[in-house]
Amino acid sequence: MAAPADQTILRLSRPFWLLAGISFLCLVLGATYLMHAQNRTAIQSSQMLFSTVVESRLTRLSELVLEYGYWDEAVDNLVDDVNEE
Amino acid sequence: MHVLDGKNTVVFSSVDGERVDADPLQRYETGLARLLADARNVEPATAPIPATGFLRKGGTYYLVSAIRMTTYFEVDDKEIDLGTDHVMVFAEALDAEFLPATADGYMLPNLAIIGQPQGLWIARHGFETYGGGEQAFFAWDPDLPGSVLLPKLMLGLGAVFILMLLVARNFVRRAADVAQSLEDARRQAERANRAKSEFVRTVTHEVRTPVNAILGFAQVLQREMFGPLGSPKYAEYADDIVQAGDYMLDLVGDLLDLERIESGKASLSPEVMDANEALASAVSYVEPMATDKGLVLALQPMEGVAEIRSDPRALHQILLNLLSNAVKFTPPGGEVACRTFAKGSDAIAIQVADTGPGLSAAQIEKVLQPFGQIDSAQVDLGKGGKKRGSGLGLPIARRLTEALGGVFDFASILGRGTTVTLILPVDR
Repeated sequence: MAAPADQTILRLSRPFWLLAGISFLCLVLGATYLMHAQNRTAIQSSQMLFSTVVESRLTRLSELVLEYGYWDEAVDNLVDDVNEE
Repeated sequence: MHVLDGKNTVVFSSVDGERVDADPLQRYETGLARLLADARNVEPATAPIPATGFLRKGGTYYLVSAIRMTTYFEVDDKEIDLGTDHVMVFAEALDAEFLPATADGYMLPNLAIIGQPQGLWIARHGFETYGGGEQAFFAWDPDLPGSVLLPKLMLGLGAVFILMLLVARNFVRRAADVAQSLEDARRQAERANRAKSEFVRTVTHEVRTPVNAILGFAQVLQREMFGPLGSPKYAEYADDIVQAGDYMLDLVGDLLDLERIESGKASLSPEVMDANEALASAVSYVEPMATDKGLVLALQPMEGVAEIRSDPRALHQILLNLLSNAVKFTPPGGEVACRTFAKGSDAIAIQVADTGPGLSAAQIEKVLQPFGQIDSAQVDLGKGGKKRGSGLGLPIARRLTEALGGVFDFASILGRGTTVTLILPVDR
């Protein structure tokens, strides 16, 4: 059992404890929000990077097929009786 | 690579540069027709434009690109036109090359193609098979710096919070200890004060009885009630005994009064009274002494009735202390002026001013403390004799005034005189 002086000081310091608790809660919430925001930013960056990679790959494939569309040997291969090799 | 003729029949297929049977293309499930149509949907006169997108075959997704082929060539110097319907299709299986290479090259762990990603922290990139077919997603586990940082941050915050709690707990304990010490000290002081009061009461009561006896016997001698004393020296000594006895009785009375006031046991009975009358009554007590000393004692009461609420006996004691001090310490030919006047609408002031030696600021502080006498505070008793006052008159007057709810104002200028003003509340 606390002494009367203890109880008085605890009673007087109640606003301090309340403020400390609220401050700590705000810090935790703020940290969680920052963590969330940082993760979202990292995911968006990663997605943007991947999107660029896919676009680049499709572009490269387009260039390849465009190049091969004129390829004489490919045309040669279409006509077995002309030149199949 | 596949080459299709105008009827979409595969006329050539190769995988990784090796020619294979020309049937796999038939098994592309979604979007193939649209892809081929888009590849052919270009005017023959214009340059061919590739149609690019995603296709699915079985459970595998492919990056595909198709283009209308330019199929003019010469055989034996003769130009042969195979038409404009031939289409070349390039297909690249995503899971065979693209996904592992991209996952490694760009640090995208667990990169895969799935139907619908679940979870908050999954990175995704949606796509559709050619021509608005099936929806699918590239999904991978992204780098999550926040999730790495948060536990550390929480750990730090927790540590700071625990530290703060420990510091606060320590502070509370120390504050409690200090408060307890103060409480103990207060109780001890109260006990000491009670003991002191008890001691003062006992001593004064014990002293008063023999002093009264001494005084009585000395007065018998002084008055020579049982015959002449003989030598005049005896009469002189009897006078000295009586004077010393009177002084001791006064001292004992003052001590008792001060003790009662300080212990809050002074019995005060405030009632409506006239300050003018109280002042006149006190003045009448000291008037003979003032006259004997050749002082001018001026009384200037305010007009009308100076009605205040106070204890008549206590006020009389205060005024007597002030007046007797003024008369005692003012040199012959000086003046003691007493007056009453209104102090605002809710107080009346009683003032006693003298043309005595006055006091410095340090001396004022001293004389307002119990037994705080200054060296010059000796009263001429005549016949070359001097005595000191008890040093209790002013402290008693001040404490009684405050106990009556009034203000005790003591002003003095060295060499010019002293003015004491009591400000007492009017009756409401």
